[in-house]
Amino acid sequence: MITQTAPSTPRASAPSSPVHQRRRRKPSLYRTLSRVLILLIVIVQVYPLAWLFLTSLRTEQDFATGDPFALPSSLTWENYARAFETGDLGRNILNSFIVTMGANILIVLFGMMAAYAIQVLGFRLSRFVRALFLIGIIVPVQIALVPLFIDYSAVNLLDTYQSMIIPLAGFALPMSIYLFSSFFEYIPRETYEAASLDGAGPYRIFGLITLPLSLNTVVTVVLVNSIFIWNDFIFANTFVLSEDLKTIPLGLQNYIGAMGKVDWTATFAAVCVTITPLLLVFLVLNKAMIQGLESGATKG
Amino acid sequence: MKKLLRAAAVAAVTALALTACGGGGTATDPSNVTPTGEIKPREISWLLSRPADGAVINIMKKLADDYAKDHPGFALNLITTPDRPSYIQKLETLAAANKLPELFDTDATPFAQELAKQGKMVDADKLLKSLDVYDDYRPGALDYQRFDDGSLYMIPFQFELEFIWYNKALFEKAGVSVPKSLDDIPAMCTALRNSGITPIAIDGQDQWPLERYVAYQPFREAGPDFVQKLKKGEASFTDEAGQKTVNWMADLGKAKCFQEGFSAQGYSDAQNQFTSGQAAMYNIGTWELPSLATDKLNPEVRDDVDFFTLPTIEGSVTAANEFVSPSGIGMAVNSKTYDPLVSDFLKFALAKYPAEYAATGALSPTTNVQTAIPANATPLYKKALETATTLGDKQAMPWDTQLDPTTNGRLQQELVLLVQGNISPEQFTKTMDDAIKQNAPKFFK
Repeated sequence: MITQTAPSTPRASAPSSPVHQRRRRKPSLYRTLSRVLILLIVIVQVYPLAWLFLTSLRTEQDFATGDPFALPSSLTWENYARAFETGDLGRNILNSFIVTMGANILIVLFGMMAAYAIQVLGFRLSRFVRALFLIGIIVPVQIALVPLFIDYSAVNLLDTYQSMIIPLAGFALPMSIYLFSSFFEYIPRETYEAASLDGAGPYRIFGLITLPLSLNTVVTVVLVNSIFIWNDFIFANTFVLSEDLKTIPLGLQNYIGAMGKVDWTATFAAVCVTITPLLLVFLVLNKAMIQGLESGATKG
Repeated sequence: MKKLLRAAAVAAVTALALTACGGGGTATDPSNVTPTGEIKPREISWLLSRPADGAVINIMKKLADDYAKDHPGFALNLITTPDRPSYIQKLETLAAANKLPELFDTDATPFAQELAKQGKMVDADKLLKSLDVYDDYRPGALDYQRFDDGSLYMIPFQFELEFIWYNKALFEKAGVSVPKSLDDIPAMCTALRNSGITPIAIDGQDQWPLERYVAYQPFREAGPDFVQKLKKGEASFTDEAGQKTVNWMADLGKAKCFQEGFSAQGYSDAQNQFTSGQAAMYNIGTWELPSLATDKLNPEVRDDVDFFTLPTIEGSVTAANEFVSPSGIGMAVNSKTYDPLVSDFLKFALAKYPAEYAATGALSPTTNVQTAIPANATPLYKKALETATTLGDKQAMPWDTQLDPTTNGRLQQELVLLVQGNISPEQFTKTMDDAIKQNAPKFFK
């Protein structure tokens, strides 16, 4: 059985799926209690989302004058119309997707390869290299801004997708390498030995054994990093100049008016639109993660 | 570890580069405002911090399109970051990397003054004069943009007046009238509270509205110079004007002038307290005319709303027609990229901008156009615009544009504590004077 050393991942709040029941059984006290507990957890998770969605349907006047947590007195789609008018939401979502996917591909590819080299292949100073990567965790993001900006402008990378993807992937690598290499410890050596005896080289072993086995870790790494990348503001704010490349956090700024007056209801509508794709991705990935957790290498 | 050291070294060098003179010899002379040569159309950029859908951006977009018709190949790329702190971070990064665009927004901050000293901005005084529009600008609008030494490097695009809006019906109910002096306000608050009315609605979350109040007493008592001296540590809160404002702020707090939990309430919350008839007073500028002086205003209070300008005090050194009249964030012109094209476009845009801007019902920073009053306006709209014609020479500067950032942040926190009664005026005075002593010398070298 494979144990996960990954930190518990933030879970998107999924609506409870109806429990599969093959035949009706007498409900025991234990089952009722666990149902109630699950229901409570679901309510706690779903309530903020429901509140967000309801607020996005309230009129501006109603939200401002009434209690922000009250039920809406009337429903309107007008906020959504205004949100799409003021900002370029579709574009922002697409950009966030491109950046998140791009960074995740780099993180998984390089993170896995580095961890494989350090943990499985092993070489002289491999522990030192691993320590070097880990030191990267404590480097604050801000110190890289100005040097990166100057370098980017020298090589004409400013105001491109790459300008966001590269630093996001770079700063996420230490943590990802740590996660991957901790997981690789749990793949039994015998598996590799057997593969070598059958004549597989390191690349083939990596592709045919390590990669399929660590799918659940890949999902975990992607899940953890996606949240950070999806919400990244600082790199996008620094390196992106044109409207066409703005990601969601930058796009949401368009609802700020004069002297800090914020169009809240339009902002809520925009947030509703922008979290939907992320929620869907998480719901899908969550399933994959649980399946990944259940399958191991040497079941015993 | 080596990597860490190297990173630290890079950071240190960066920090040095940020503070040291930029050294990158500018190609052009900032005072040369009439470059000679051929106009070669290209794309130019303006880095700004204004509402994405606001009048300034929409008008400049339109003017750029008009200009491009006669100058194929020209385009104006507007890069807006409405959130001010994010904008400043961006601007400072670009400045450090020596990558400032052709045009960029900035307030008259010490950081901007540093850029001007390094010759990175075109002298706006000379520029406006060479374009023959200098005399069209309201002196107050230009003065707001000037650095302490009187030099001008930013061009204003707005002009606003700040009033105290009030609800006549609520005043009547509590038996109070428009205050003749700032010192009357605490007693008014008590009377309003006794009638169960919130005296003043304030946006405490954004902090600048409360900071406006601390500027009022010194402006009346000692004039606009007080804050200039205070920020450099040449004057202090222990001075007469300083003590007056500290005690007055404490009195406002004691009289429960602001709504309950004001520090956690935002811009819209405060405005709605006033427009829904719960609060008697609301201090805000003419940028809110579209919500306060048109039929957008809640009909229940529409006939009761009026405004008065900042009251004076006994022995006031400034007049009743002198108060807060900011012209917003200004636009600086990058001297490195200033060429015949930028010069020609500015000439075209600045000549046409005032008429377009005034047509939207806003006050132009110039006096050569008449602001159009919207069809749905209440009589207050006209009254507010007319106030602009009778302004005095002096203006009260908002303190958040004057103090160094560290002291300013401290002041905003301490003001809330003072008004809530968590600290005494003496504690406030000591804390703030210490903060200025500690931070001002580093900042105003």
